[in-house]
Amino acid sequence: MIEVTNLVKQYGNKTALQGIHFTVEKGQIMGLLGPNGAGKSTTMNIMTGYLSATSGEVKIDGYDILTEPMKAKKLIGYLPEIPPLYLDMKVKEYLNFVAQLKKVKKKDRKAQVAEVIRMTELEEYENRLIKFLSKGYKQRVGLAQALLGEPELLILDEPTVGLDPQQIINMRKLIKELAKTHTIIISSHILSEISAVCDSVIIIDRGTVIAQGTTKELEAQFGDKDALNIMVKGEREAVEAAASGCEYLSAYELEALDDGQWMIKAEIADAEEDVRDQLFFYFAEKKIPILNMEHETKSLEDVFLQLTGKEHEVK
Amino acid sequence: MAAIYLKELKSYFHSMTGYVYLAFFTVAIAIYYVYYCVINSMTNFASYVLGNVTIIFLIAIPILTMRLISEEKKQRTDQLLFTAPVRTWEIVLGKYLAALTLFALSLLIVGLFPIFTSMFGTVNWAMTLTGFLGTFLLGAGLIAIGLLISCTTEHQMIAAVFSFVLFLLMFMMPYITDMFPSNGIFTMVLLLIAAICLAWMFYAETKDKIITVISGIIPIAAIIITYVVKSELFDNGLANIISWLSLMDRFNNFINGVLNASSVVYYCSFIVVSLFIGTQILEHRRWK
Repeated sequence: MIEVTNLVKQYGNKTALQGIHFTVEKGQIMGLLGPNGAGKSTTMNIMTGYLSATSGEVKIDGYDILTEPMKAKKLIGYLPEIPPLYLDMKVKEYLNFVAQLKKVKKKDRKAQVAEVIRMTELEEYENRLIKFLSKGYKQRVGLAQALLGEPELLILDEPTVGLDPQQIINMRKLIKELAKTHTIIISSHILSEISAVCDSVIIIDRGTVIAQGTTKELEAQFGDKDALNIMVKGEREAVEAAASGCEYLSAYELEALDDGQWMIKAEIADAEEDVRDQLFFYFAEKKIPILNMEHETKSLEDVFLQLTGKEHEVK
Repeated sequence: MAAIYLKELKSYFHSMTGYVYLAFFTVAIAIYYVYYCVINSMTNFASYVLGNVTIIFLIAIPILTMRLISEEKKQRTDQLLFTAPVRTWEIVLGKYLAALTLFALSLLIVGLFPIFTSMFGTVNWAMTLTGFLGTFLLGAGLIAIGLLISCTTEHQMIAAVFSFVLFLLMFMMPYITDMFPSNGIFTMVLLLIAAICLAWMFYAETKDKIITVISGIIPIAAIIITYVVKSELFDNGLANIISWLSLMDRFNNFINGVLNASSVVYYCSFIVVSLFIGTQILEHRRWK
């Protein structure tokens, strides 16, 4: 569906993108992740034809955005970081304008505008001036605008920024709903955002792709599966003796918690085997109750911090 | 294009701009009309009233054009326009036509004045209509320049002031050129400076030394050779260049009742070139 090849963008002497490279298959939800200023918006602006790359190319369904912009742009619905709204227009009037702008046929226009208003739940607001809408509703109008013209591909630049928690949940629900019929690219600097909705993730930092894969792959690639956090209750000596004498654990660290509770951060001797039930009986025998036990899997958050953090240290 | 045209026309009346423009233009014309045609009983609407329209244009046209493109940039709505399946020239043309429509509407309103006059005296309609055509063409040309300036900035006030200053310069040009020497050397030096500036602009844009040298040397050589071979071509050159570029000279013909096809063509080409440059500026912005 989308092929982005070696995008380079220079603003004067500053290089914003230095060779962004990825593909997105039809029907995927792809997350573009990176700290602020990493080049997410620039990438999206180039993909949608708003900016031109210094070098490299973007193909949407085989159409190059630069040489066949009319065909390529018809396939894209774009919600920029700041929704492009005319504040002195009413919601419906605005959507009618966008439908006309995107060359939706006159006979389909009314139905399509009504459809996107329904999808984004703007029925009550369709006759309000956009300038009087709250941030969340403006964002919805922005999304409604992107949906007009029945594009196959949606490019959403930080669609949930500035929304309240309820609105964020609604927006996510809507995006998941849309994913059934669209290919979607979302950018965000917040990980939970991406891991909540996306199939695959591309992490970019300072204009380069630093990691890429499905959320699971990334977690697997960067996570330590053999780490286990065991929360127990007991005297220090007893806990230490039990932990060091345990054959299932190869190494451990002890951390004091409140009320005589301890956190044993342990490495499992045989990573292939699930030893949690053995551990339960082992500690029970030592009269040390286990309060909580969990595998320490690296979340996407850690992967992200690890990757972008490392980069910064190198500098 | 139709979408942009209609939206722009509507937005003139959503905001105060359309009303402010119409009120300003008609009231200003009405003042001249009352003074010349009512108090002093002149029936020659074209030369007395329309002849003064240039002063009104100084302010009226920037009102019309200042926000056309700048406001889109400021509100970031240009992201919608430039990512929609629309060509850049359609955006520029749609906006231009919207401004032109409002301008034509104001001329229709003003057109009522000579009709009033005709109830009380004889109006030379051929001359009046020629005057109106001239006014329309001059206004259309200035709107094209105003739109072009609006393409260059995201601040509408800057666009307005810049248009105002430029129009003022255009109107005063004939008087300014009188202050400069009219001999050939002066013209040649001026042209050389212009050629060097142009070459430098090429360099700033392309950073390509070969193109810069070629684009600099060819016109400079041409100017010097022409000067050596046929120096009389340069006599009074500045005034000639200015009057050739001036929208005003031709306008004066119109209001004096001279209908000249070449002037019509001149204005039309002027508009096309301005809109073309405006489109190029917007296209170019994407590469920055």
